[in-house]
Amino acid sequence: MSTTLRIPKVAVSMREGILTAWLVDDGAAVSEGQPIYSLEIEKSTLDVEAPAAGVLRQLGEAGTTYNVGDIIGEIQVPP
Amino acid sequence: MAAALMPALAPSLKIQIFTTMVRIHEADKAIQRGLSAGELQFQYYPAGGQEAIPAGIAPHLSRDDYAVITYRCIHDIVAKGTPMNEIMAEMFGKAAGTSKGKGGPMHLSDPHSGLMVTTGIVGAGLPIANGLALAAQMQGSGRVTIVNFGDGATSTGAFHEALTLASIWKLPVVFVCQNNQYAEYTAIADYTNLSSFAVKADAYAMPGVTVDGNDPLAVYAAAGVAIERARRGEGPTLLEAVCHRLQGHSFGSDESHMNKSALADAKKTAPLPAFRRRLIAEGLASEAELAAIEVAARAEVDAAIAFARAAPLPETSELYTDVFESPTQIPELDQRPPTRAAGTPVAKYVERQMTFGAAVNEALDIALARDSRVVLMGEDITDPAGGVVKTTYGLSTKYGTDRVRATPIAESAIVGAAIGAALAGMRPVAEIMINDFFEVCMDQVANHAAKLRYMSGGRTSVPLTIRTLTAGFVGSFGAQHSQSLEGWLAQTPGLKIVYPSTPYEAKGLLLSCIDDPDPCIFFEPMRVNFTPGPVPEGFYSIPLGVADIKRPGKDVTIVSYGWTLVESLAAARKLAKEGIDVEVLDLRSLVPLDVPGVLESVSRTRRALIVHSAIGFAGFGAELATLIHQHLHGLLKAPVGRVGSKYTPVPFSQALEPLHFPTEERITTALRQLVGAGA
Repeated sequence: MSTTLRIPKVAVSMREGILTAWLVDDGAAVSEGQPIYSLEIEKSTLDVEAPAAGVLRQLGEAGTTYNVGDIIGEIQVPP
Repeated sequence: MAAALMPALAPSLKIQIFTTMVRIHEADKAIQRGLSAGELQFQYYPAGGQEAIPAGIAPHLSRDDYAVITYRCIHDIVAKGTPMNEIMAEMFGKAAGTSKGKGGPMHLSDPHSGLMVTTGIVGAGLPIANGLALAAQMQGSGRVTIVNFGDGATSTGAFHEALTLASIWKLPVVFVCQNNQYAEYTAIADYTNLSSFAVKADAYAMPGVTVDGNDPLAVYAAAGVAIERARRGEGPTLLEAVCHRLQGHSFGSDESHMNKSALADAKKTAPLPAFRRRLIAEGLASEAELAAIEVAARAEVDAAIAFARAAPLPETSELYTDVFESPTQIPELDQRPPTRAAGTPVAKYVERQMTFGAAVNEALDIALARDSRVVLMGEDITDPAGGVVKTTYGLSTKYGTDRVRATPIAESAIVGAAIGAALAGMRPVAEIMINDFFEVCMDQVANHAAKLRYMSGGRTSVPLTIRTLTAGFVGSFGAQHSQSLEGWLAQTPGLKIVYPSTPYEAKGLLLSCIDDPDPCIFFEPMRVNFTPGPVPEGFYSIPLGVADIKRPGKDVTIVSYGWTLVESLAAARKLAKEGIDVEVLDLRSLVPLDVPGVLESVSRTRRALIVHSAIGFAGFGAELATLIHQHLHGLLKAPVGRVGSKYTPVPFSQALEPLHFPTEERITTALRQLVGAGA
């Protein structure tokens, strides 16, 4: 089982955001609630927390602008 | 009973409160995980830091007690007892949600657990809570209403109006101000010089109590006093529970507006972990027992998320359900072929004459006599005044001031009380004295009365009637007492708009409105209020959405309603002498709209003139004209004409007022042009 990571909608008018940096390495273990990447929207930056515990798989690239809902990674839970 | 004298709480009750707090916390976190992952996408207002408040209140309530809550709400919803599956399905916009996915996180209702309204409008829940409490008081049900709101809501007019009314009517309601230190992005010190909100209660002659909202047992004690007071019939309490919001205003919003050190301190003393430590310190539960509660809550929430994720979406047909009880009353769904307007004409042999206003009075009298759920409320409506134009005269004397209630001058409180009472099974008839005053209570009318059936997915309904005078073209009332705002109201799905022109219609349509399952706005044009006409005795009702051909003709159809219908008939009589045969169609109600009746008439005469007393520009006539053009384009001999009021505020001077309103002369001129153009 894995949890898909999509760009969240964190503001009423938000259509897109910049994945400015991954805070956790690809393939590293993360715990629920741990900040995993930084998202820049409308001149402010927020650290997005892991919605689940598991192993982070990065699918999006830092510095790229994504639309809300775009898949940028997943958290895999080891069986 | 003073809090200090409350018996010691049973350990099981403390565990129950802890369990509620944990379930709230897990639900709140699960929604935020969904938002973080991008699976859910909506504005969410987390409840972190406020879990202790509803958890402390909940043990005093049963599902028969009512709750009205605001958009920061997950804690209040969980504590009131709404099933977790239904909560989460609503978050996902699924058919299995509390509101069939049509309300969403800010607007869900769960009447089964007593959760009657969640409002997204700050302060708007308070007037509605009064109505629920009024119904409980009148029905003798012993139910108490809890209304939750934030500190920011204490700045609203609705707060002031609601506490004013609750006080004078001694309503069984508890106003719970969850003071989380911020009104959205603004700190308390930046919007008020007060340091406590409970002190405001003094201004309404009710108890005001401040309690530590981080301590669920303190909340339990204080809420118990307020709730018992309400149950005993001693009236409302303002209970301020002081807490601290543990995150920004909404999910993902920054926290730069928050005091950093205060926030850090609040996180250290957050209510849930603090209560957990206390239970262990007091030896009431072991670490393992509390951990088991936490695991169970997480499992419950995870299962609810899985349920919601897998649940089906609403059918597309749900778009139109729950606007009204019957979707067939939605004008744009009316596919019936043109059919002669089937309005029943007033019996030709009725000799009894009475004025329009007297007919309204008789309808109210009959409604009060035949249905114990009917309650009247409005400014000045009791005797000896009996209403500003005596429309309600005698009713309070006959039925008592419990059923015919004078109110403070507080339109939002009036409409809110009517909404709440309707939600709880009453049939309220509110009076907004003059139509222009709708502009100070439009939030209650348009955001609540109109939308609650839809936002609840049909689980609640608002069968209320609002009567209102339009005082246009009676001389001297000027710009703020003379408008006819039906066009504004017609823009709001969920409202029925009824606009009689004669005493016969006034009585029959009003009785229909009072029996109707949906909110009805009933217009009383002052220009015809003192005009007599034949009115049958006893009960009769005229169905909504059925127009009436007031005068048959073959050359042109006037479509009108209200007092301009009378002017239109006069114009028709005048033109008859010139050989122009005018049909006059009285709409009687705008929503529901007799689409087949309008089309049938115009398809015979092949010319149409719309006449109304509202401003012509962007008025309801534009909708009618489009309807006729779209359906009968090839048949029409001339473009549809419109006569409305001029695009000006209503002038005071008698030299100007007749230039503003549609007069018989303007109508006859327009008719001549229309018939000439198509000759």
